[in-house]
Amino acid sequence: MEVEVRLFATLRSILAKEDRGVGIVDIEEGSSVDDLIEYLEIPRDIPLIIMINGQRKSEESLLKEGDRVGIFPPVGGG
Amino acid sequence: MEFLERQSLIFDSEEMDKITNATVLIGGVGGLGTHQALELQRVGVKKIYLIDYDRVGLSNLNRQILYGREDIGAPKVDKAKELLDSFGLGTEIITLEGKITKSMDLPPDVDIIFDALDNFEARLDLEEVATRYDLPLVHGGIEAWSGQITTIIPGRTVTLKELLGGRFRPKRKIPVFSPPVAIVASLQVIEGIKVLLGQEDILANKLLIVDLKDYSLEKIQL
Repeated sequence: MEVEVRLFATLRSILAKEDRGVGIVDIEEGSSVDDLIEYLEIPRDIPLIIMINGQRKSEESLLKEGDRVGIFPPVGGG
Repeated sequence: MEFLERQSLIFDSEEMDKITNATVLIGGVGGLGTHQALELQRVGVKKIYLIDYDRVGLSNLNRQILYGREDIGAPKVDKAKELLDSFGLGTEIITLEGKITKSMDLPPDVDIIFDALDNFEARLDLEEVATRYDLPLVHGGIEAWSGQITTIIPGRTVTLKELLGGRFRPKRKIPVFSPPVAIVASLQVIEGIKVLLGQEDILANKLLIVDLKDYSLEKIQL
């Protein structure tokens, strides 16, 4: 199934530069956000805020075809 | 404060009274804090407490807009107060030189706290202080082109600690430059005014994500 992934802030560079932080990811049916994080090789030791279709969800949430997934790492500078 | 003539076209007299009688505390007088202090003075708050333990360094000058080259080595709170006072706008500026700790005492008249810190460890300490005094905390963070803002109201909203889920990035030099810092600081000040005025559409239990690479503002329910 395909999901649309938007990566924010420091995670943006995980996708190809021309994608500008948004990409379509083809991932196995029944995958969770956790699987997607693994697949995209997003570091696991930083806090992540997960959005699915504009709602905050947990990393255990299961994905459906066409979901829009946003992953944001809270940033700490000032 | 007669210089607020144009602002009083936006806010009614009761709202103007709330703003001009407000006492705020800015935790950290670095990038976010210097921008916040300037704006809070311009909107005419009654009193600003500035807390910081640090001294001005050369690498601060790319975004910490109350300091210049001549201030290097001087305590930030002193230099910030000096410049803010020189504008003569009537806001009382009180400096509190020192580190923010969980057990610190706050002055009794603080109405709201602005987070202007540069690391999450200190932010969690500030959150504990805000909770102990039952004060709203307007959180903001920044890195490169991105930032986030939320308001923490003790007992009513998700806490910063819950939001981070116990994970921390290792300490490192965070890339920052002035324009995104100014935008996040401005959004925090706007949010703080709305919280002070008791407006409904605030960022309590909401996270505003700012990504200036694609000019997006995303507001999510927490």
